[in-house]
Order: sequence, then C-alpha cells, then structure tokens
Amino acid sequence: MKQLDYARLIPDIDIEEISEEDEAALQAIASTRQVDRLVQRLLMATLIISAVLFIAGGVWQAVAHLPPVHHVAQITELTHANGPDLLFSLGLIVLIISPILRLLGVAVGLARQGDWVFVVITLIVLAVMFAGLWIG
Amino acid sequence: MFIALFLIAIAVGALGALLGIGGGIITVPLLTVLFHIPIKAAIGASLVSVIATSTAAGAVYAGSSLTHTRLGMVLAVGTTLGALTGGLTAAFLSPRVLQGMFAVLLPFVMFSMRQLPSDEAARPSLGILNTAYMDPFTGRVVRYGVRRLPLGWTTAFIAGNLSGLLGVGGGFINVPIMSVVMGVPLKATIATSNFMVGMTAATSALVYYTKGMIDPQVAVPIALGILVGAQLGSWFGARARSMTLKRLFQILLFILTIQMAWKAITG
Repeated sequence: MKQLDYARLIPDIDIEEISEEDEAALQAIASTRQVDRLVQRLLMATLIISAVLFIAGGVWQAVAHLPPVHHVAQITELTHANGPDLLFSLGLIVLIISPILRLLGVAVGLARQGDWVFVVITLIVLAVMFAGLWIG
Repeated sequence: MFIALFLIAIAVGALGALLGIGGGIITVPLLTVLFHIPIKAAIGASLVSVIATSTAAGAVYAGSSLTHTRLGMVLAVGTTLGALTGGLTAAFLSPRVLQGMFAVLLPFVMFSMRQLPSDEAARPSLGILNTAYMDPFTGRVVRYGVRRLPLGWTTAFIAGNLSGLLGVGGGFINVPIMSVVMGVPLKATIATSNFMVGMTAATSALVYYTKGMIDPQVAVPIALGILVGAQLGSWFGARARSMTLKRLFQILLFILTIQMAWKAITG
C-alpha cells in the first residue's frame, strides 16, 4: 500500500506531540480520511438531492391540492410520471441507491491507495447485493 | 399524519445513528400499531428509513474517521451472503422459534457488554486490521486491532442469515459482535454498524421498490425526519462518552428482549 501524507490529510492532529511509534496509527487515520472524504461528498450529494426532491414534491402536492400518491413510479414509468409522483419516486431511488454509491466510492478510494485486496472484497459485497436483487 | 411521521422519524433516526442500529426494529411496530399502516408498506418505509439513517449518519461519521471501512467490508461479505441464503434457514426454523432464541440470548449479550473497556482506555494488544481514529470527545488518538476475525465473520454470517428471517437489518447484532467478540471500540463499532445496515437494507429496499411496495406518503416524511435525526444522533454519538453509549445500548437490548419474548409467546 502507498505511504500517505498524513500531515496534509489530518491537519487537526498535532504531529509534534506524537511519537514515532504512532506512525502506523497516523497512516491508518490518513488512509481512512482519504477514503472518507470521497464517501462524505457522495453521501452529502445524495442526501441533498433526495431531500430537495422530497420537499419539492411535498410542497407541489400541498399547493396544487393534489390527491396523495400511494405508489412509486417504476424506472420504466418515470418518463410518464409527473408532478409529485415523479419527484417522490426520483428522491426515493436516489436515497435507496446511496449505499451502493458509497460502496463504489469506497472501492475507488481504496484503489487510489493501491489496496487491491479490499477493492476485490468491496466488489464481492456489491456482487452479492446484486445477486440478492436478482433472486428478489 | 405527515408531521407526526416526520417528528417520530427524527427521534428514531437520532437513536439509530447514536447506537449503530438501522431502527427498523422500532419503526415497523410504530407504523403498524400507532398509524395502522399495512405491514408491507411499514416494512418498505422501514427499509427506506434504515438507508436514510445509514447514509445521513455516514456523512457525519465520515468526517470523524470512526468507521472501520475495511472491517465493515469483511463482515458485510458474511452478512450479505448470510441474508442471501436465509431462505435455507427458513426451512428449518420458524420466526417464532428464532424470537424465542433471541429472547434467551440477548440478556447474556447485555451482561457481557458490562465487561467492555471504555474507548478511552489503552488497548495494548492489537490484532489484525489495525487502525486508529481520533476521538472527537477526548481529542486523543485511539489505536486498536480486530481480534477473533474468523469467529466474528462466522457470527456475522449467522446474523445476516437470521436478520432476514426476523425482518430486521441486524444492527443490534452487529454491535455486540464487533465490540464484545472482536474488541473494536464502541464508537468505531457504532459507526461501522451504521455503514453495514445501509448495505443490508439496500438490496431489500430495491426489491420492495420494484414490486411497488413502498408508499411515498409514508416513506417520504419518515425519510425526511430520519435525515435530520440521524445527523443529530451521529454528531452527539461521536462526542458522547463511550460508557453512556454502552448503557443506552444495554437498555435497547433489554427492551428488545421483552419484545422478542412477547412475540415468541403470543406468536
């Protein structure tokens, strides 16, 4: 695995106060931070997008006095859906796939560090999840 | 109903993020008993709420480096494979028998958690998958390794296998496995469990979505409430004393013991 510049990745830790024995700990924290930065951006993006879609759908439904929609539009139906139905469905899809996006983010982060063993483990988890989806 | 669901979801999201559970074990009974929502719509909304908790808490925990991503991945292979083969177990064990088994097992887990050292205590013996984090409460670097990985992985596989049968994400099983069996500090355990429950729920949620079993009028206010509550819960969780989290988790296990025993007796 690559050695990381932990002074850059963890500026909030006072490096002067840490002995040489803690080098491994600093590398571990830096490694986690590097992966987490990418993951955090992905998760915040999915949270903001889904929250905006939910709120917009709720406001639309309330302002237009539309009857409540009790079903989600399937992916193949999204082009025919409209109004709050479309916004709620898109928001739910974005939220539901966020753990999958997170796994992909982790895989990219670990690949950047050259940790190929855990890239493969991450891909195995993704494969098992998709197998579960296929089996239903 | 929108406002009531939103407010309840804030509390459930905060608790879920604080203790590393998805909250499904709380959400489903609340929706069916208090709001008379049909069980399938309740489970669909609960799955969305587990993902919302995991994602919102993950966004906060990612900033504090508490999540042991590599350990989460290794265990997730076990839990997801376990969930995939859950149908095999269903042929031998009824949910009622399982609930009875958990009602007997959980008090032992609750008492074994008493032995956990505080996160702030020194951890001299490092195992494998060594890592570290900076505790947001003390500002100190906590180094730790993972002990008994094969046993932990096997237990995670069994937990994944059983959690599907009980209709839960398994956070209440992940936390004792990682903290009691594998020696992971409680805060890192909670953050890692939050990561794992999202993965467990995502596959089921996609299946529910494609079968049209998610009601937006229930799932959307809950998801919005969870997004707020989980961010609050994870912020406080990272900054709380680990002993406080341990006691809260023991109280949760006590309540779950009664819930499981009740279901096992009444069917």
